[in-house]
Amino acid sequence: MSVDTQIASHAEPEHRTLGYFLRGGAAMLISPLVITPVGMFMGFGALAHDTGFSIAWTALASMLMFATPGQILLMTGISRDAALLTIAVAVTLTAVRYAPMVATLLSLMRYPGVRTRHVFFPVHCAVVSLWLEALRLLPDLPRERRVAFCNGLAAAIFAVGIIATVAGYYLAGAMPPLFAAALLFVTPISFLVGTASSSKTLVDKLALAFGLGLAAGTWLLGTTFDLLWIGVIAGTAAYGIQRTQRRRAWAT
Amino acid sequence: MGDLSSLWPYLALLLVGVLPNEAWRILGMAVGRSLDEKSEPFVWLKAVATGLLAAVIAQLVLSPPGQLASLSMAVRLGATVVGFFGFLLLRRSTIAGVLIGVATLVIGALVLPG
Repeated sequence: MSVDTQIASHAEPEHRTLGYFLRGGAAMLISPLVITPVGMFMGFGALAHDTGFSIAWTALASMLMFATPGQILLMTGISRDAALLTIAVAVTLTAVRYAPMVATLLSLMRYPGVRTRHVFFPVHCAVVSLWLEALRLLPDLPRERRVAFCNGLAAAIFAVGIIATVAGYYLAGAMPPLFAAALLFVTPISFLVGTASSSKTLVDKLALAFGLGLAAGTWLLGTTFDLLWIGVIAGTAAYGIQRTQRRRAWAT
Repeated sequence: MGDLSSLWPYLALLLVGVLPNEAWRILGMAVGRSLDEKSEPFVWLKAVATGLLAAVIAQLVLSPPGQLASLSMAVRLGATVVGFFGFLLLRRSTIAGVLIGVATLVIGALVLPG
């Protein structure tokens, strides 16, 4: 392992690593998916302002959590004096979806000599936009450059998220309603086309279709969404279908 | 008491915000370290994450947050479908899909208010 590390560090000059870091940052900034965190963090900042939180707390929440759904639940929980356990459970339920995302992200960054400290920042910044861009771009990069590139993606999205939080805090109330609605709509539409764009295999396309269908079905039935279960059922069904297809292809 | 009450939101942020949020990312990191990107568990996990994300998308369109809820269901669904077809027709360009979707939403909201 240590030999591998040495070879790796000798073969990679520092400046080329910086180059891939900057390329990652640029890739995130020109991606249409960057609009999503702008809208979400601005929304969080505006809500924090209206709820009466200080700018210091608001910015710190974005930096330390970097997950707007959880941040909003925490904030409303604190402001309504909810029980601590209730808040923790609500926050943790919104964060479960990060586990499979981070696992697949880490899998793409596997390389001899890669330590936790090298990947911790992208892991902390793992949100849907980052995950979709990483999944789309990392497989085409040489393995030894992926960590630097992904840190670049993360640095860009982190900076965007914090700036948007502060901007939203001070712009609260000044946004026309239709503008605010359009900003919120960017999230589902960019996640939809972003997922469709990064779903190149049958299993991913099926998982997307099943997830949409199941969620719409439970909504029509009036039952409450359990996002985690929809994900597990849709993903497992898609995986099962793809496996039987492949077996048939092998058999013939 | 004044000190404690001003510190309280920060303590809550760490205890019931950062901790329950970051735990899943750390867990994902532990799993992903020993996961080959061409292995079967990777394919399954990616499918689960994709299915979960699809559910989030549907939820945001069907029961949306904040100001988006003030627009009619027809406008929200229409803009989603038009944006998606825009993406498919214009050489699978994500930026085209997003712009067409948002433009449809704004025009729809102005033409069909409420």
